[in-house]
Amino acid sequence: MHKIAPDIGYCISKVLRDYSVVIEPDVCLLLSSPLWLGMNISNGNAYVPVGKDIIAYLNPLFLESFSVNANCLFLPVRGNSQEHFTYLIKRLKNQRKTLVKLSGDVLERNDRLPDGAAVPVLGVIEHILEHPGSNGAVVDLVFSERSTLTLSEADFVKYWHSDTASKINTEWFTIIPSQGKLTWALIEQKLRAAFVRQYHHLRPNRGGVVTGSAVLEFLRSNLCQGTGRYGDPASHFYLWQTGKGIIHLRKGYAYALNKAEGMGPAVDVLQQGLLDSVRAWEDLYKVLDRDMTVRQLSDQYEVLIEKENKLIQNFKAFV
Amino acid sequence: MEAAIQTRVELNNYTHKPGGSCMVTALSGIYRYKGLNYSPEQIIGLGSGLQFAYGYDPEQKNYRIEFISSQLLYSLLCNTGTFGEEFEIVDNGEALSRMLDLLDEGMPVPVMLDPLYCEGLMKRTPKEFVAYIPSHMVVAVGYDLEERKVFLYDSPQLDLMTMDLDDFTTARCSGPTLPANRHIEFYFPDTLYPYAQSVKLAIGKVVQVFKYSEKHLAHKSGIEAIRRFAANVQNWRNIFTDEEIAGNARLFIMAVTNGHATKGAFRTQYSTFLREASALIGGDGYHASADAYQYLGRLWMEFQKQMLLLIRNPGAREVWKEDSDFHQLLDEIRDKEIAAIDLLEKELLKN
Repeated sequence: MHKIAPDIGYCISKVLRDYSVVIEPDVCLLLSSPLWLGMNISNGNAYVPVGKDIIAYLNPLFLESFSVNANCLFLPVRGNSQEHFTYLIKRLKNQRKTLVKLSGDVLERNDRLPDGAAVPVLGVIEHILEHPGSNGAVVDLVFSERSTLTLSEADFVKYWHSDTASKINTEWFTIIPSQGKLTWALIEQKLRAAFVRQYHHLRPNRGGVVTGSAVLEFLRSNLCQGTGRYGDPASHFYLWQTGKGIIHLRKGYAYALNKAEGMGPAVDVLQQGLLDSVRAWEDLYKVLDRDMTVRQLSDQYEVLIEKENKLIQNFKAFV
Repeated sequence: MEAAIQTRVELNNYTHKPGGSCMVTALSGIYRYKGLNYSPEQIIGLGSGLQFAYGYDPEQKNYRIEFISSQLLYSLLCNTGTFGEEFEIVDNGEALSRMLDLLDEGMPVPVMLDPLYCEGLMKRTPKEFVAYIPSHMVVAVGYDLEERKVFLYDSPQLDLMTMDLDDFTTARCSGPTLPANRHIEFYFPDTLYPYAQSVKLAIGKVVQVFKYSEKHLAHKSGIEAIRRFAANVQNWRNIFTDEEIAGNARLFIMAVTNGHATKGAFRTQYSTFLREASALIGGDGYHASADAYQYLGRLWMEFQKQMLLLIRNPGAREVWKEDSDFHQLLDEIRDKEIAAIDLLEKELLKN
């Protein structure tokens, strides 16, 4: 699950409302500890949480993290058979919406993964209307406050696919809250746990999947040595075109931090750190959009590495 | 030249230690295989496994009771920094092919099987309880395609088991909890969360579940569930037939013993986890909480005996009279569970 439209807070919040639980979308976003930077540089068929040679900026366990942080039951189901679809209809009849992952083609998004597949998006199935005797059901989907879609059953199943990291499955998720009366004190406890998990998700890690600033170091090293998968500066252009959502997600997260301002000055420092990081990412895109030299790109990676490491320190204040 | 197709793989360096809960035994084995020597108690603790969940299904007139969290896997991942996903593949061939791929890559695969196909489990479980086992997890560690065999470890048994490939395929896609063909895949980063951090996050989650859960629809968890359970059970005699009482008592025994696999309602194991965590973390630690959960483990075992009485004689007067051991034990369990979680929260804030 490497890329999903960053309206995850909106989608999660919408599902919780079925249970009369109101958690604002921004708080849902923070509670999902979503920020990540990861790249799979391994070979073979073993499981990795991100597709090969792809930049992932959304924590692959963001829904699990939300459920653990927010004290919800998390029920993932994987499979898009007719039985699964029938079950979704049954859930809706019981006033229960379901989160679902669809191919980005459904929104005609331009983002493309290196293998040509569209970046997946997260949505909520709002209604399924059955037409007895006709060619199947009609499905209403919501992706964000402004983005909705109605699909025939056949189209829905077509877009209801899996990502390139694990082509074998298709995913949809249920989140069932355990708490309704959420006082600020409880939310604050949950946010602190979410920030601790967020801190660990951003730390650099090496291995089959490099994460955090280690991704940038890996790319910079390929670039400067002119060797490896990313030895050619042009390859960085294509790589990052699929990762533009990183700015959107981080801006969204920085904005969402306004909801946590009651947690003291460390939140302001964190917000500032995020905005600095966003500026550095925007500068990277400016470099990528013109005929950049190896030196320019390498320098920009150096700035980004510094900002990423500083951001980790900002999160560390909550550990 | 094409790579040779492997027909036999066996992960000889997978160390299996038999255990109680199938899932905990499997997860402990997987983490150990990746160099993290987590005992079953640590898996329960780090997975925020301590639970009391309770729900009533009016249609079937029975209760659902959990003493170990159904969310253990996700909590374990999010408390330790491991990646993983539970897969469910509709097509049998695809499910098998994926498992073989993983074994070829040197990764053992926790797989859900129909309990009826698991010899050790069937031997361990008294006949009258077999129908109450929902599913069973084993760890596949190898295969031989020429001989059409799968090699696996099952929690109750010490030795490596061999299962016919066709039986294995049927066992994966049948059983009481369909849709099936479920397995788990893991990715272990080079660095996990520091242990002390994982402990704190895991305990924090248990406190949240026990103290601050209000509703899972009809399904309650934590203190709210214990209160409701204590109140409802004392009323069973008035609302259920003898047969229904015996059935619900069997459900309780299966939950509290995790299918005759564990003693002490997981409180004993949680106590061990807290004691070990205290030794590692230093400071004040969680010693008092460890004592409280050890005592609760004994109380639940006593209560289990009372439930066994009900299976044999659902109308037993010595159970249902107001000042019976049954009623007194229930009240004490409720009060001690509330006190234990309060204490754990205090120690968490101190540490």
